[in-house]
Amino acid sequence: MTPAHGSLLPEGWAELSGLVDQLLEAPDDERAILLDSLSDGDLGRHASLATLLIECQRDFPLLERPAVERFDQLVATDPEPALPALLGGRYRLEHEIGRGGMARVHLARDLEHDRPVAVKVIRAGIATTPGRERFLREIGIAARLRHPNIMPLFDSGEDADLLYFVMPYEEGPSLKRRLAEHGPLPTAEVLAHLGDVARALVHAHEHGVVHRDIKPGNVLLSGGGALVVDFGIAKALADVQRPEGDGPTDLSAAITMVGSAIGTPAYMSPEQWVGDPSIDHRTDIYAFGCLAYELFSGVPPFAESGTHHVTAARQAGRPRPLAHCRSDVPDDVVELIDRCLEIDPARRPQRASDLLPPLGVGS
Amino acid sequence: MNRSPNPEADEPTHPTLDRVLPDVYQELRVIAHRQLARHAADRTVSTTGLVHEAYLKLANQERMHWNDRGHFLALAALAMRHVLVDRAKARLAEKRGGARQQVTFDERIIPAEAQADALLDLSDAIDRLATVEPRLAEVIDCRFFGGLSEEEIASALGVTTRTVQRDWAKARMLLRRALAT
Repeated sequence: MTPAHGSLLPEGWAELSGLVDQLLEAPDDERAILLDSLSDGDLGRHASLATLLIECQRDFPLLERPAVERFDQLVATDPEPALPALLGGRYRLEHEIGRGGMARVHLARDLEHDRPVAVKVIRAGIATTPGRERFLREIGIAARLRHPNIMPLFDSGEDADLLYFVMPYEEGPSLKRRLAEHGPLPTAEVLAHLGDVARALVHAHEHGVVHRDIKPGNVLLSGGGALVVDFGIAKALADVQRPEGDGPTDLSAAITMVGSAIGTPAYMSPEQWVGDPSIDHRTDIYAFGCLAYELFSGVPPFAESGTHHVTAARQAGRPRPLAHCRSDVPDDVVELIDRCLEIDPARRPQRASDLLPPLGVGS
Repeated sequence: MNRSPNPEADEPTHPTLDRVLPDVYQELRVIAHRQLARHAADRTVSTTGLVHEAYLKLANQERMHWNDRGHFLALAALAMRHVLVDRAKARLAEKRGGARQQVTFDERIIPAEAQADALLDLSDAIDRLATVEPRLAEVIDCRFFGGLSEEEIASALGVTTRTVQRDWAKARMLLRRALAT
């Protein structure tokens, strides 16, 4: 708990504040000398000033972006309409369990089967654009996937101008949360999760479904195994936002695609980032490499470049070698991750099934 | 959660507020609310834009004797913070009673309550800072909530841009300390 007024200021602030000003004002290379002279032999004051100076120069992530971006969820006071209590005549919405740029997720009761489900409702602004049929068609293809490592899609539909899809209610945790709580994960666990994700990719790719948004937040741990969620969703969302027609045929259409690149920058392949209309399943191979890298190291590749520069760093070269973070990753796996992260899709493993042998798992 | 010990103090005494008419300030808040809603809908939010637009609207009203542009922008920035605080409180009130469950389907989904909590803590800390180092608090409001440039802040507060830069560094340091406890 923070006590009331006063404690906010460091001890002796009335005197130190002006001295900190002088230090901040001084050129970098003169600060050490100035610090000595301002402390005048008082070691305690020297230490306090040095600490305050360092703290003044440190970034405070909370304040780095403008308030309306940092607190964007508060700015977005639901421009979309309130949701009906009963969706599609079948799903009784309970409370919201999450929201994001694309969708709101509600816990709901499936009245037909009397079971809890998670209903993801696409934001109105997206749903009202002309591509809703494409969206539902794409979701329909993904819904046909049946695999123990793929979160099944129960249903999808539209109701009162809203697009939604329904999946089992699964508490997780996601690999994202697992990483947040644990940091880099033990090698045996990582290999097991990667094996599960790779098998999910093999199955989906064989059925013509590309994920396009493989990342720790989209992998849920359930009963010991990993479940990949949201197969086909990123593609469906991209289709919804795409202008009418089968693909960008002119420059302006291509630019629209770039502007609406769906995915998560830290895990997005270079070709997906630039909105290359010919992206294929190998974008998932790249994201798989990012996922593997993060599970071992605790951070996505290129994380140290800062979010705004990830793409530039990625285009320019290689991430910090995994061996710098830890030494117990099998050589075959290190090499596999390196190949997955190749900028040129042709230099990556060409099929998801190529991921399995180095991980030491069968299909 | 660190909450100010006096929850009634929704609008604490603030050096900028003390200098202006309360109804002007209320009007600023209304404008900020309306603009946030509109900008949220088209998803192109820029605080600077909001604050400057608020200025243009209010400055054009003749009944306002308002010729100190910088001062006005500082006030608009404060209004922006209070509007976000209103929303954070509303959001938390709306959630009260509903059990919170963690389901991470998507990393773009950050529970709004987490942002609400973070914002209220920050705003409390700024209010406490304002009681002991008022100018530092104003610099935070102007830059973080108002999106004002260093030059605008300097003119609003009647100091040099170098002072604004130092104040920002010190204010940031003090707030980080306050929020780390």
